[in-house]
This record gives sequence, structure tokens and C-alpha cells, in this order.
Amino acid sequence: MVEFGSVTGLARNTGIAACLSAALTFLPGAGFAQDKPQSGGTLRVVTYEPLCLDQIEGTSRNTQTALQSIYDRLVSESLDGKFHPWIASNWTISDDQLTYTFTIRDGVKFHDGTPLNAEAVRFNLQRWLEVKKAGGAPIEAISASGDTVTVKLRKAYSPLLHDLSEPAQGFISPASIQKYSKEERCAGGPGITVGSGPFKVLSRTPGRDLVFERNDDYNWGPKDAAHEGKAYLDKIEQRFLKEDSVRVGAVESNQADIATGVPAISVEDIKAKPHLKLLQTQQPGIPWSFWLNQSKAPLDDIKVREALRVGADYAGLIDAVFLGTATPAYAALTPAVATGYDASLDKSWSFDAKKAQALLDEAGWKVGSDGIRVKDGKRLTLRGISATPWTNQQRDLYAQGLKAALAAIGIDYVRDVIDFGTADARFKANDYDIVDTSQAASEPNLLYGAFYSTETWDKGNTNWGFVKDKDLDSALADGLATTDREKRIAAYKAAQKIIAQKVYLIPIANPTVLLAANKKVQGVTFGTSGQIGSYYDVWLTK
Amino acid sequence: MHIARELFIRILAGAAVLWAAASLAFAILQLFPSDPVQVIYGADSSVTPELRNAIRADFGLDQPVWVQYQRFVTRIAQGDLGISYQQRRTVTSIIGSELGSTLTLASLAVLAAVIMAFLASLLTAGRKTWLRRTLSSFELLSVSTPVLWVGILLLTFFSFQWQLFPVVADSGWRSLVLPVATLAIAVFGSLSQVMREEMDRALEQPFILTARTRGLSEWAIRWRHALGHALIPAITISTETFGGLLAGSIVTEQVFGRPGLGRITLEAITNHDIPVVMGIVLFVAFVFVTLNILADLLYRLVDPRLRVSN
Repeated sequence: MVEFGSVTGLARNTGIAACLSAALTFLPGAGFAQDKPQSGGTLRVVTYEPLCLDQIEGTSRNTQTALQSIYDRLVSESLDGKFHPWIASNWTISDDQLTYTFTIRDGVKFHDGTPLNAEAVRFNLQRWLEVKKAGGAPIEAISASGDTVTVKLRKAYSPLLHDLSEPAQGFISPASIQKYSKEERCAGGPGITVGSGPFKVLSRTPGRDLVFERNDDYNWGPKDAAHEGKAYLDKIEQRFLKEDSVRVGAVESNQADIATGVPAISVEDIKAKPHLKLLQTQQPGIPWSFWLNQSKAPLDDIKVREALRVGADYAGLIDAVFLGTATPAYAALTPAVATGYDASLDKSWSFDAKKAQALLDEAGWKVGSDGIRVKDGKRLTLRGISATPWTNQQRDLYAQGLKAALAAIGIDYVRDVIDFGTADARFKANDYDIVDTSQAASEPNLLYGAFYSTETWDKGNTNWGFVKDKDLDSALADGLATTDREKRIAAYKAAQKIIAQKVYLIPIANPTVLLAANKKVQGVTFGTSGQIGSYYDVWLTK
Repeated sequence: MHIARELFIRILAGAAVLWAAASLAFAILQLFPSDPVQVIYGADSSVTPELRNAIRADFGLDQPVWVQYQRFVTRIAQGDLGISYQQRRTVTSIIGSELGSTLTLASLAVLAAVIMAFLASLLTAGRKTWLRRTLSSFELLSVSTPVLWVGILLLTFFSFQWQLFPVVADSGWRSLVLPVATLAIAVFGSLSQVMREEMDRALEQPFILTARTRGLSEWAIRWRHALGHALIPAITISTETFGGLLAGSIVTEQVFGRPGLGRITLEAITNHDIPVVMGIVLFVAFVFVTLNILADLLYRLVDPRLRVSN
């Protein structure tokens, strides 16, 4: 019952919304490249429903994922963290990192026949700036002249290309924005939901389905796609089924070709079906982790934080609970973040109950009568929060196992899974010790939102730990100030090392995203937030 | 004129109930800890302070509580239920567009349940046969099994295993069979139990004996004389059945991926889409009030004694 779109957790608004990469990924179990891709056929997908079809009005990740095949974007980011031309045929970044100039490709048309030119790009970016404050990107001005669009920044901001490559920044026909009201655009439908992508909306029945048909004029795919020209599929039928077991049942009984959001318990079942294959990718972003609140006792003491990290067998529990759908995490970024994941942190700590107990003793927490430690009359209770959309069966189960393991060394861990609104209130009241969630995006600047000293919840960001660390701040600022890939990687590796040293975060599991697909489905891609990608390169064997 | 006056009073009382329901819902939501802005913006991203203020002003949330309440009541009185935080559509249009699908599902399910309950009580009231034992066990099962489980079970066998009824493709009546069966099973149990018990009691009455002495066949007795008695409790529990239908349709629509009121209710509650939740609360209260008034009128139709006493 967990939505794929939201289990990934909270996003820093600049960095996180799902992101498409049209790069062809060769996935484990995806089968060998068969003959030549064939055109034709209808792909039947069972997935989650986007509530609002206007991705600027509605911010849901389900919307962004569903509309990746409808809208084109300025640039495309592949899973290796590199950027490729798309609607922008090329771009330059000024030496002071403040001016981005994009050359807009010629001859691109929206589904309604109006041109996707520099002015249309400016119109869309301006709307993003006005309605969404550009998600926090420090944009000063956007202008269009001839075939170029210029974005001027107030200060250097290296994730800009990533932000522009996200599905939320897909270009909508300005004519349709001017013609239809917010309400009509949210409801969407053919002629209203108008992009320039490889597919166009054929019909929409809210609560039931969303059907796309091929855009035969399409000739402007991203440079990193597996092919050029129009898409292979004639039609895509996306049917919305919320219940996990029903989606899995639908692909198993051949009523659908792809099911998204496959729960871990169904993995063995799907593998056993001869007509199905399991597609998986590791989710880029921040692993499922514990954010530790350092603004107050007891986690303001690094000894307690360290004891919490080595006092339970986190890695061992993962195999037992996640059934092979997650790997133990050590760095603050998952291995899928190509720009910056620090592999040297792998296994940099391990389970050591004795050390944990010694650390807690040193910190003055002595074992009390019921086995839970006490200091100055206060029990060592750590109150954790997770919001319903951030958790799932496996995470709940894991937390139960962890509670038992931590009780053995005298820590009383309590985890409240609450609705998002209540969680929001408790964050504002600083009423928690631990927050557990994961964040999804291939952009390492996620760490800025999660750890930079000023980026607390009331400022609209996710530094739940109230981390205030000059060295960390400066590493994160370095990463933000340059678009030089090597320099960025060095900055974010330094940041991850500080986070691990000072135990600002306990990374637990690198999540895997699972899809079940019929073996006739070829060319499925994953986006840079781990979501299923555009259907542009997908084809069916006859 | 008696009936007209009584009806007027009932409608007035109904309006009072609606007002109370609206005020209560408003009060509860004020006590709610969550910040609507976060809900409007979505749980997938966090909100910058400037954007937070802009959204508050946009939805009138920056006004004092009593101003908000005043606006709320005025709006409701004009039939305006507000705008959904998540879909940016008016709540009335959302309810309007989803109602039809739920009505189709619910009315077919009620029809099926009523026919099954009629048959079950006609066949088994006053008799102690194997059929009665089987049916009452089935009724007990239907009352005590969660709708979700019934739905998934039906799907597993009839859709996944034997592929008789599709869950993905829309193939007219065939895609309605399983959801209707799921909901009908949920309603059938209590309806059938109540109807048979009342028929059991009616069959023991002296007028049945009189009818038998007149030489009426067993079927005629059951059909013409006993069934009327069984209808009264059926009407009485109709409001209860409506509650069951609503709860059942939430689950049924979720499992079978059908559009409808149940689906948007669940969606609105999980997303804290407060205007939609309020709108549905009021709509449901309205239907309850209307059903109660209708049930009272129906008693008079079914039971002649009530007509005379007036």
C-alpha cells in the first residue's frame, strides 16, 4: 500500500523531484538485446494514479512519473550523472557560473501544432519561477532572444542543469496554459494536457486509466536515448490499481505487461513465473536512514550517536527483512549517485555491542532496573518519527527488529509512524530524536538540504538533525559553487566523510526499485530518481 | 395536512443536523495539528517560507478562525463546498463526477443483495433444513469477513486464476461483476439475517394459521403475507446498510481500481485534502438525513397500521 512515488521520502524542493533519463539501461534480468527493435503494439501498465495532470499545479511524483512520455525537457540527465542535449541543442555556462545560455533546437512542435521555440521555453521557466519560486533555485531573470534562452542566477548554483532535467520541468504548450483554467488543466485530457513528447494523451478517466498514443511527428528525442525518430509503441494504457497484490496479480495473469511498485514479498513469486522478469534499479539519493536530532539530549552527545550506530547489527538485519531488495548503506549517498558517492566508507563501522555499551557508560548512561539506561533520572528513550508515505512493510518490520536489538544494550527506541500533517507539526515543535526516511534524486546537492546548517524544516528543508558544522557547510557550499564534475565529486565525498565521522546520519539501507514486466517488453529505462523512465525506447517482441 | 407538516419539521431538523455536522467537522479540523500548506504543496517536497505565506493567502488561511468559519458556513449554505487542495477542482464537481460510478456499483450491489436476501428468507424461514444451515453459515461469514479480503479472494480465483472477469481492461458488464459481488456479499449477510428472523416471527402469528386454513399454498403464504413483515426491518436497517455500502465502496473501489466516491474519500483522507473530506462528510450526512426521512415515509406505505394511527 505504499506509493512508489512517495516512499522515497521528502524532497528538497530544488533537487529531488523525479528525473527522467532516457538512457538505455541494461538491467539485470532484462534479457539480452533481441533482434532489432520492432514498432507497434500496445503496452499495458498497472501503476499509481496521478491526481493532477498539471505538474506545476500538482507536485505529486506520480504526476511527474506518468507524464514523462508527454513532455520534453531542456536537457536530459543519464544515470551516470552526465547531461545531454534535448530541446536545448547545446548550452554554455559563463566562467562566473552565473549565466546559462541555451540554444533551442529548431523545428520542435507541441501536440497542438504550436512551436516549442525559445519563447515557449522562457514562458515555461517563468511559470516555474512564479508559481514554484523555481524550487529555491536562485534565478534572477529568464530571457529569450532569437533561438537562445538565457537564465541568470543571483549566485552560483550547480544543480541547475539537474533541476531543468527533472520531469517537473517538462514543457507544456503555452497556448494550452492560456486557454484552460487551473481546474481544467489539473483534470487534463486530450487537447488539454499538451506537450511535445513522443506520446500524446488519447484519453483520461480519473480513477481508472490514462491512455497515450504515439506522436508520429516526433523527431527530437534526447541525445542519450537508444534510438532516434518516433517511439516504437502505438499505444500505452496506464491502468491505476492501488493495491499491491492486485497489480502483481494483473501481470502474473497476463492482464498487464508492466507492474510498478512491486512489494518485496512478491519477488520470489514473480521470478518463478516463466513469462515474467523482474527489473530493478538502485535508487539514487540518500539511503533509508536515521536523521539524528542533535539540538538536544541525548543525541547531542556523539558518544550516544556512535553507540546507536554500532549497538545493533544493521547490516545483518537487512538481509533478514528486505529479502534481497536492499543493500546495507554506509555513506550518506547511495551508490547510484554517480556524482559523488563515497565507496571508501563501505563497511567503515560494524556491529560491536561491547563498544556501544562502553560508550554509553562513558557518556554517563547507566543501566537501570528494567534494563534501559538512565542518566540524571531520565531514561534513554529515543523517539523516532516516520510519516506514513515514507515507510513500508519492510521498514516497519526492520524498525521492530531494531527496537529489540537496541533494548539489549539499554536503549529504548520508540518509532511513531504518523500521517504527514502530524509529522510536519512535530518537526516544527522539535518533538523527536530520530527521523527515518529516504530521499530520491541523482543530485548530490540533496546533502545541502539535509545537512547545511541553515536548512532546517522551518526554512523548508530537511536538516532534521539541526546539524551545525562549519567544515560540512563549507564542503556543501563548494559543491554548490562549481559545475566542474571532479571538483563536485571531491566536495561531496568530503561531506560524506564528515557526516560519517561525526555520526550526523545513520544510513541503513540502499533501496531498490522493483518492476515486474512481461518478457516481451524490451528497452525499459529507469529515471534518475529511480522511477520507471519514459516509454520512448520501449518496444514489444512479437 | 398532517404529513406535510411533519415532513416540514423533519426537513428543518435535517438542516440542523447538517449544520451541526459541518460545524463539528470544522471544529475538529481546527484542532488538527497539521498545516494545510504542507498538504497543498504535497508530501513529496518541502515548502519555502515565502511560498508557504503565498499559499496561505491564496486559500484564505491567513484569516482569523471566526472569519474562516463565517466564510465556510456562508459558502456551504450556497452549496459551495470549496476547492480541493490536491486536484484544484471544486469539491462539488469532484463529487458530481465520481458519484455516478459509485451509484452504479452500490445500486447493483444492493439489488443483488436484496434479491439474494429475499430468496434466502423465502426459502428458509420457518424451516429447519440443511439449506438453512448452509445459508446462515454463509451469512455469518459474509458479516464477519473484511470486504478487502473478499475482493482479493474473488480476484485471485475469478480474474487471476480462471481469467473470467478482467480487472485491468474495461469490458463493460464483465468488469462490474466482481466489484458488485464483493459489495453485495458485504451487504447481504445482515440484511438476510434480519429479514429471515422477522419472517420466522410472522410465520408463527395467528393470521398465518388463518391463511393456511383458507387453503393457501405455502408459497402464497410466504410471498403475500410474511414477506411484508420482513420488509419493515429491512427498511429500518437501510440507513445502516447505506453506511456499510459507503465503507464497502471505499475498499471495493480501492481493490478493483474503480473511480468513485469511496476512492476519492480514501485519497482525500490519506492526503489530508480537507475541503474534499469536509465535502464528503456533508454529502454523506445529507444522504443519511434524506434516507431517514424517506424510510419514515416508506413505513407508512408498507405498514397500513401506521397510516391509520395518524
